[in-house]
Amino acid sequence: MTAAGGAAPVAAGLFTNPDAEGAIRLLGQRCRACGACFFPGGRMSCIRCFGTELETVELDGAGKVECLTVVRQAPKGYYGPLPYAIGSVVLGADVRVLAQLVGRAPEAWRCGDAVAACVFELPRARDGGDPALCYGFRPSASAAERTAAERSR
Amino acid sequence: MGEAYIIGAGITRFARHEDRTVESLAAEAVVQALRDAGIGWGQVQQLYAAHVKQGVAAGQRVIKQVGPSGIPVLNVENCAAAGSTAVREASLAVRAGEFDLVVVAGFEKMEPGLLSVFPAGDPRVVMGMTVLPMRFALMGAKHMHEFGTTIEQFAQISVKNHEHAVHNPIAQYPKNVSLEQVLASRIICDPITVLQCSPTSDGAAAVVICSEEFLRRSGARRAVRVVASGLTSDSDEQARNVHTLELMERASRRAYERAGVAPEDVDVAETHDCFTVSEVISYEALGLCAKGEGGRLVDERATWIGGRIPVNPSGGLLARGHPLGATGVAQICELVTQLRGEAGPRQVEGARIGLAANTGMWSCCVTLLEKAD
Ligand SMILES: [Zn+2]
Repeated sequence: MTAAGGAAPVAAGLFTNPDAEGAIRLLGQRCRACGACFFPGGRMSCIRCFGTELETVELDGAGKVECLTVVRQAPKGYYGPLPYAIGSVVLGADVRVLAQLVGRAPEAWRCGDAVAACVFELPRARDGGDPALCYGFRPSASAAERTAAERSR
Repeated sequence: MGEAYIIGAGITRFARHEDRTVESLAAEAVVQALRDAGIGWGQVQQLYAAHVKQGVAAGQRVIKQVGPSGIPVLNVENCAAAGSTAVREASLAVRAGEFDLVVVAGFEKMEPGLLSVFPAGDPRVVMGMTVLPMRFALMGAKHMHEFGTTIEQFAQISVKNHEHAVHNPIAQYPKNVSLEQVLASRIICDPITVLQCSPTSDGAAAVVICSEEFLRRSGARRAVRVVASGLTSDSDEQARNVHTLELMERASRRAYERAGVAPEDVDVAETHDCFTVSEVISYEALGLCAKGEGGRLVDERATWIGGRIPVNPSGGLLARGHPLGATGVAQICELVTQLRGEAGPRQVEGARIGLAANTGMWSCCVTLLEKAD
């Protein structure tokens, strides 16, 4: 579940290059007019004030699980392990990101758990193919998160 | 602005119609609605065709079966809110004086399995985030965490709607299920089990809508007035992942304001129970109870037929079935039947004002109807 050799990101521009422990920062957009941040980026205008002066920013690496669900039936086009947990994670004051919660049994996650952004691999096709490097969240007590937190300070 | 009245309603059985074309299903509903209204197809001035994944110019294909009258066809795609969106557009055109008599048909033949709207290779697909109940599962989880709502309260919606469907001759699953069965069925996405998901369905529904002038001239009886509607699309809810039915809240507020009607005035409602969770939270979004009290409304059995505010007497999407483009029109058909007092064993006694809340991906349409006499 850590950054591994050579898998290409699931899409470009979503997160920073992972460090040795697989820690990342998600890349969002920030509105210069009102300060609102959002993820994913790629928008032409702010979701709050519709301002068009936007800049790419690294979002907080640490967050909290607001709510989660455990998925037990694979949706079309998903070839990763089952079951898996999807959480709505609040980063900083008001940015909510939906992503898989990894590094712990899916059923063991609870609302309010502290998490850190990380990468993990998922297959792109039924037979595996080239894996995709995906963003997700893992328990924040890990050494990786402490390192990331120190670095950001 | 003039008024718009529904004077005819028709609906096919909701089922897996392996041996039928979608055009023949739609034509059956249209012909039934015309017969119910006592109107000939030759008098109809425009057809609104609501559908989601039925291919190009599906409405024109339907007309070939009903009759080549040469009238204009408007195809309406608005995901699962297509049906009510079409009824809204038709009513607005009639109220604006453009037409005296129009027909709205909603129809769908669905592919098996969970609905998928994202292209293969989309990051959300690879990461397993397109599982359809996900948004509602997260909404449910948040509601449970914030308000203490229970898995059982959500599951009771499936029990209720199946119980209601037993008395609906067109329902796809007219059979009782127990709370234990609902909870013990396969989990798709915690806390949503398969018996808490609407099924894959085929079917069609149609309504005939006319102006006040036409109503007076024709002397049609059993009319139901389209009082007001509200339609909202995209929103903060999606952009910020706030896990609420904010779209529905805004759409209903607009409809209530336009109608001069309060939530307490509503006698019967058809809401979008694509999953059990959405029905419980819709009680709050529609103002049928206070925020956080959806679960309590379930415990009080207030939304069963015979309760304070019966919801989904038809069986809802869960048990009547959910052919995407047909659903919004089917909700209106049920309300028309209820307000006419013709719903037989599933009749909500004395119903005068009905509300339909129909949601699609990133749109919600709320319609208020009133008995006309
Ligand atoms: Zn802004």
